[in-house]
Order: sequence, then structure tokens, then C-alpha cells
Amino acid sequence: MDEAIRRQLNRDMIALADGERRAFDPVYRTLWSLLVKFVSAFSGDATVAEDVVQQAMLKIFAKASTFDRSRDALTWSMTIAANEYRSHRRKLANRAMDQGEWVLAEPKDDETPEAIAIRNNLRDAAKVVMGHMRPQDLEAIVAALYEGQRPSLAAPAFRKRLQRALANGRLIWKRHYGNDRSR
Amino acid sequence: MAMIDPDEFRQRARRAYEWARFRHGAARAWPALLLTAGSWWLCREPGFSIAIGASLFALATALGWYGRIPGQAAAAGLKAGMAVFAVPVIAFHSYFAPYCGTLAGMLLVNGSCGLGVGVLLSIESSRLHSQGNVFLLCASVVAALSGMLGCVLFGSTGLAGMAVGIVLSTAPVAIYRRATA
Repeated sequence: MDEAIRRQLNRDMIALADGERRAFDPVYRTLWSLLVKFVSAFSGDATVAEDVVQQAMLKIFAKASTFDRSRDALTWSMTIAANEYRSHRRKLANRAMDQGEWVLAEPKDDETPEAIAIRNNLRDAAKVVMGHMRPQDLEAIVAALYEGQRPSLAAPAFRKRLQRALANGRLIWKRHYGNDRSR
Repeated sequence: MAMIDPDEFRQRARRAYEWARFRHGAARAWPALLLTAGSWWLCREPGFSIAIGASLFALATALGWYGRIPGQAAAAGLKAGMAVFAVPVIAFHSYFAPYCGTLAGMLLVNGSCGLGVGVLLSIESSRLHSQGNVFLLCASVVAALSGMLGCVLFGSTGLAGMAVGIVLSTAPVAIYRRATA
């Protein structure tokens, strides 16, 4: 992501927290497109992503007045969106358990069945693991993966947090899938 | 949540923002409720206390909801107002109590309180790059209403003394700033 856009988003979010209504539209436009891309990367489904982002945007604007200006607006918004996606997954899982069936993603026609099956399995497994991670762990991993602005921590503290986040992620993975990577 | 029209959703997000600002403004106006309760308990004039307290709470909430300079002014006015409330009440219940019963005493205590707060708010407003007079006006009104809750103890003379004190200390600053802008 362009650093200039990120800085502008920070400025607009701070202005919105101060009550500048004219910052509403720029924040809305910038966050909508970024968060839809971000959640689509998790879910692989644009419709689900837009649905989740709608919920996340309502929460973001409801919390905008109390936005902590020392934080990065994009990371803050992505954390809310990731939490919203986790809630969405939990609701889906609960509904599936109630109905006694699992909701599976539809395969795409333009790839081989084997590749689709492997990709879907990995994606679902990753979603489950991310759904069980703590928000601060998720925030650290997202900041490292997307080379984004890190939480307001010193570099060694961030590295430690990232290490802890990855270790927690591995633990969650093992708890769900053991050491069988082919599953 | 079903997908809805983008324009409709934008309006919904805007309503969520405005509603949250309103709740935030009301939450930050809590000192008004505290001062009203204190005024009721100390001054035994529930009618006056509730009328002034409700006006103060509504004003502080509205300014907090609006945000920007008026929002900052509401916060500063409430802080100053707590001092303006406390000083006359303490004076009335302390060593100066007999003296506060006289007209001159009431005017002196309340007037000097108003003057002091006006000077403090004027200094605070001079730190702003713009809209210093808006800040001064909003903060003064909030501080004056807070002070009036304490001045209920002294009746209308006390209220007038406080108001005159604030006006005397803030008006020259506002006029000078406007003239030199």
C-alpha cells in the first residue's frame, strides 16, 4: 500500500475523531476498498468479504470518536475487520453444527480438482487457525505479512510479539491438525 | 447482514458515527450530573439546580457531539467549572462563612471566581491557532453554568456576580483578538 495513502488515512481518521465531518467520505472510500481486499484474502469470497466489511465499517465509525491518535488507522481498522471476520466464521460454524453439516466452499472450474482440494483445505485450515488467534497476535502477523506499519512498539518488542504470535499460531495449528500437514 | 445499496450503507455508517459521537459527548458531560447532584444536596434548591444542571448537561453534550473547537471548549469549560463550583461552596462552608452572607462578600467571592476562570480560559484560548473566540465563548458559557450551580447557594446576586466576573475577564480578550485578527 502506498505510504502517502496510509498517512492521509491517518490524518483523516484523526480529523474524524476530532469531529471533522468532511473527513468522513475520504475515510469511508479508502477503508472500504482496502478492507474488502484484506478480508477477501482470508475468505476467498468477495460477497462474504463485503458482508463482513459492512459490519466492520459500522464498528469502525462507531469507534472513530475514540480513535487513539498514536495508533495506525489502517492497522486498527484491519484488526476490527479481522475480528469481525472471526465472528462471522464462528457464527457460520455454530450454524453448521446446529444443522449437522459443514459449509464447504464451491470449487472453481478453471483449475484441476486436486489443486482445488489442496487449496481449499489449506485455506480452511488457515481460517480456523486465524479465527482462534488473539487480536494482538493477528495484528502483529498482518503487520509483518503486509509490511505495514507496526504497532507502536520498539523493534525488539515487535519481534518478540511476532515470535509469540507465530508460536501461538503453531500451537493452534497442532491442536487442530496435529503434525499431519497433508490434511 | 444482507448486502445493501452502497449509498444507503454509507448513510447508515454516517448515522453510526453521529450516534456514537452523541453517546461519547453525553459520557464526557458526566461532571454536569455530578455538579447538579452536589448543588441539589448543598443548596436545597432543586428547581434551580435541575434547570441549570439540565441546561449544562445538554450544552456540554451538544458541544461534545459537534466536536472540533467547541468540543475542546466543553471539556475545558467543565474542568474550569468544577473549580468555579467548588470555590464559592468551600468559602460558604468555611472560615469566611459569616462574611459570605453580606452582599459585598457574595459579590467578591463569586465575582473573583468568575474573573479567575475567565483569565484561565483566555490563556487556554490563546494557545489555539484559530477560532480562539469560539473556544472562549463556549468554554465561558459552560464554566458559567457550572459556577451557577454553586452560586445557587448565594441566590441571584451570586449568579450575577459570577456572570459579571467571567464577562469582565473574557470580553476584553475576545474584543482585542477580533480587532487584531
